[in-house]
Amino acid sequence: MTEMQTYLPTNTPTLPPELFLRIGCHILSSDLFSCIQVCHHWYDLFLPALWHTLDSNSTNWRKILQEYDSDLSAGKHDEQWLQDIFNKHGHHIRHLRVHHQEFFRFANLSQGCTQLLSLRVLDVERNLTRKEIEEELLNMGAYDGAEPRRSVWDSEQPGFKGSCLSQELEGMFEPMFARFRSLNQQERNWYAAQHLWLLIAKNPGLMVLHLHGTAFSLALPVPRASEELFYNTFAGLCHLVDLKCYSFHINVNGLLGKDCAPPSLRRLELEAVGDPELWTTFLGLEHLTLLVGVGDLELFLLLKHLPSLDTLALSLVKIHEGSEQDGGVTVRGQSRLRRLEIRRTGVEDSLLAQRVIPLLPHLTSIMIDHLYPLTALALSAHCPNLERIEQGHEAYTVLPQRGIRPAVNSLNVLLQTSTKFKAFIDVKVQIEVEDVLQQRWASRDLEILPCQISGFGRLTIEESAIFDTIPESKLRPGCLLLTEEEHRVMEKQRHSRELQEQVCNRLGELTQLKELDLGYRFENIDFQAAQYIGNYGQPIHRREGLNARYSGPIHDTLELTLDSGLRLLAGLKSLEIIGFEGMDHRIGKEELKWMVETWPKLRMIRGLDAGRWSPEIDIEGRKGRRSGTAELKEYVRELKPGMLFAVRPYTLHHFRGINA
Amino acid sequence: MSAHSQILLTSSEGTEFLIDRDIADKSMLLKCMLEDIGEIGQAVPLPNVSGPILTKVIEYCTHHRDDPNFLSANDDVTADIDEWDLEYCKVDQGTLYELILAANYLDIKPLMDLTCKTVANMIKAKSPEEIRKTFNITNDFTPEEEDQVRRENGKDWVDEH
Repeated sequence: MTEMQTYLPTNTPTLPPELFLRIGCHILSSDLFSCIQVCHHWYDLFLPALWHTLDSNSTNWRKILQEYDSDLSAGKHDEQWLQDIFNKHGHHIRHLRVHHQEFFRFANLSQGCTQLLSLRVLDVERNLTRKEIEEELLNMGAYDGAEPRRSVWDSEQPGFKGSCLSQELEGMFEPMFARFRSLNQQERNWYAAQHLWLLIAKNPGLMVLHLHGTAFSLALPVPRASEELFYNTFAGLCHLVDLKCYSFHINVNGLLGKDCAPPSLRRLELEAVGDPELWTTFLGLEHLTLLVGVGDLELFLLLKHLPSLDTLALSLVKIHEGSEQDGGVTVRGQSRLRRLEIRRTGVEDSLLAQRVIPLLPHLTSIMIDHLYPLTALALSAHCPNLERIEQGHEAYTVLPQRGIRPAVNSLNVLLQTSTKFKAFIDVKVQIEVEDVLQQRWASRDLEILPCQISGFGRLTIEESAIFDTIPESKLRPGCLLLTEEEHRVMEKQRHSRELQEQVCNRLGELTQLKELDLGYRFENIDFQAAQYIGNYGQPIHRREGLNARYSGPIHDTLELTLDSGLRLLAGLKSLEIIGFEGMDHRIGKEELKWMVETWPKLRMIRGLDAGRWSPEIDIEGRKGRRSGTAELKEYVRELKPGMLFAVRPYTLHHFRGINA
Repeated sequence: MSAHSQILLTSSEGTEFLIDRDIADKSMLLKCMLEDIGEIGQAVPLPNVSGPILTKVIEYCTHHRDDPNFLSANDDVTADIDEWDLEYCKVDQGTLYELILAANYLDIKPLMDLTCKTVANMIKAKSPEEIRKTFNITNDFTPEEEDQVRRENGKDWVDEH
């Protein structure tokens, strides 16, 4: 395009060309493609932005590559066309995401593609063409009546003998085993692997390198010989900040021991731990993800050797009971860790609570598969800056272990002690009315609070039937015209309403709330857990009523009606999500109207269900119940178009992602 | 540094603007300068910014004065622009471009992102012809050149989102 004359249109004020890259990063590739077709001037302005970030899936190239060995395709012509594109624009590319192995060749062979800042290799191994997929299905006998043709799968078939593209790669790889891939595939994989490593080597400015596991299975790395190649390649990347390497071919000890890890490295994601004594190489490391199980000694050594570590994510922690406090490693006070993620704890609550949490005084957020009471207690005692807990597992949070009610309510203890607390994500806890009334909120900055409160002593269905027959004139204390039963029911109702108002009053103090979940539905829950839900803290003989066991609404929760305390939540002006799923609420049109009018930011209502109290609905008829709910939803949408309704546990976190 | 100190700025035409220090600090250029040399008591000349544009920039910084997320406000490329910001950007193209230049010069990242996003939104989901209409641009490509541009840049782009 250099031969084309550029000119400046006089009617538009001009900006310096480098600012168009800034504008360009807010524009989608498809729109940038339109921009370069506007005029010569815009072509020059937006071309660098179009090629700045390239995702091999954002064009129809993938489709072309899938078809290129078919009879319909222009075949080699298409490949050459793509190669020409890379030759022409390769020097503009800074960020490259590759889903298709052919792109290693295009990029490596184009002279200009040497200024990459990031290279992300995704799942590239099985980029089969449509023809190859057909072939494979035939071989497996996937079609009716066809005999499986096994020739390609025959281990006797000779493997592909490849040549090396460069001397440095001599003896580093072997073609992938013939049995699983056709000769044609082996050849493509073989060269793709080489092009990938040559491409990395010619981009010494890389700051981000992500290698999905399949990047290592295009061709078989030869043990030891290939390690040299890998380590030398990484050693050449002296600006590398972020390395993700999913491969068991990369021996971490080798990487650590050879001093080839660039000191610029801040984020590292590996599938192995290696010898933690060697981790001192990575003094500057801030984010470490290890997709393996880590033992207690290893964990303590990591914390000791990585003083800058901010986030540590582990798939599994294995703590052995009976071993020394911290394995003789002194970590206390040294770790600056602010975020800990443990996908699977595999440890007893007490071990995590006693041995790991006390070492992490700066923790602000934790993700854990299951929040046990002792962990919560340890967090409240040792982590004064804690802001956020995420629970990965879908189970009930205070699930009693071995049928014994825990001495500590996980959520309650944090609510009472953690002064900086903001969010509980996917934590499901039940609190007793007394707990709410006795405690003070330690943090007034709570933004996300899931907490099902029960124990209001509400009327049962039978009692409410009695209550409904009492004429209004007799509804006053001390009325002598009531039967004893009517009197008892009326007193019970009055007491329950009082408790509800008091609780709503407390909740109303949390004016920063963005998400308030007062009920959840539990799925796949076992019998023992079901006993506790909705009956938390009740002695066995009093566990009664509708609870999760019967998939009915959970008994004895807030009514959330205007005359039972809902009005006291008027101060929650930041509220975006209100949830009352599975609750025995009595929310109707009046309440919904109030919510929409009072909470200006409200955009999601979770668990709207006409329920047993809705007057226009037959309790027994499922159909009737559904139509009642639909009518309520329609009513809300008339008041506020675009309101979202959800039934699954859908949080702000999933919705938008609030960062701690 | 007193919390209520004020800074004098001079626009390209020589108009003087007296603003609070915390407003000035929204500009990384001014913030670094004031930290480095201290408040010298003289007006800070801004020869690259005209009076009307500086007024507009100060309006933005004043509105976002107490915004705790000021620096990360527009990080999310796909997030919607809030109502006030949207209204703020309803200016003619010339002014918008001058705001981009001023934000770039004064190093006010959120304003830079906001104005760039606004331009980006004017382009969003439009054909080349629609873009030409919006920006009042004449097509100077021959049909052959148009074809060449498309061919050399990959023909069909689809959104990655």
